[in-house]
Amino acid sequence: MPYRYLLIIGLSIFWLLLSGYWTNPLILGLGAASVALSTWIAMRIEKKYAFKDKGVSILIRQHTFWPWLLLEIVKSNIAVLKCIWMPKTNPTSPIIRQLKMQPQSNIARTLYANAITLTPGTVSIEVRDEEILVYALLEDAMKDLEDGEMGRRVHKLEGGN
Amino acid sequence: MNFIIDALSWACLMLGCFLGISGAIGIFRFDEFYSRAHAASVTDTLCVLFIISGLVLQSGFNLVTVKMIFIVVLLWLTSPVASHALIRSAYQTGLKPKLAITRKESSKRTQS
Repeated sequence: MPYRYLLIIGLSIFWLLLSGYWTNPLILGLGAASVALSTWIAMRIEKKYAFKDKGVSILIRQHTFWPWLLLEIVKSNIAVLKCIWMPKTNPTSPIIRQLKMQPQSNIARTLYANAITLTPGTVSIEVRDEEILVYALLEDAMKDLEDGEMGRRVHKLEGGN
Repeated sequence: MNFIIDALSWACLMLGCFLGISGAIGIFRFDEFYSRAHAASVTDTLCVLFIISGLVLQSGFNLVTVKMIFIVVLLWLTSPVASHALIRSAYQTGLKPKLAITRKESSKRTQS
């Protein structure tokens, strides 16, 4: 139930920021209609695929995760750039490995796989129940993932310790 | 003050251009499908961030800024999905990646 209101508030803010016309009643009405339509479609989807995870608490804790992820992205970008510009001194060492996942809920697992793919140098190929198949361009990047810093941080987001 | 902001935004734009070009060069320089996808993800992440932040510094703070920040957020949320779909479909149709360390060797290494 609270997701419906959260969705309406979020979509309204998104629409207002994108349009910029906050006084014209016709455009405001069109915006309200489109927000109602997309909320209705989302509700229809939720009837079949119910959203059971603790989404709100994850949203509130995001601010601890993104600055760290940005730093990781910068680091791995530099590593991949070295491979591109100096292929002789920094040869690539492609590696595929199956890793255990720490995050438990579906939404945290999605976030984890997305974060792995977002950092250059590592890509998640397949996600099964407890495991994730990762392709890495460099062996060091795979070692960092095996140490599990990112998994721990995503696990903290969903309320683990 | 104006000069400093201009210089910062130009530095961001040039750095973004450099990252975009090196992503393109990486696509040609790497030797197979999977590693080429990684070169493209350099362009997806930091190149976009630097170019947009350079443009934000140029435009000052108004609604256009908010829209440009939306561009970064939406790109960062959707580009991993696209590259994951691409690589997963390649893997499932049986394109074998060239590995430096095969899976058997790596499992032996962790056991010993």
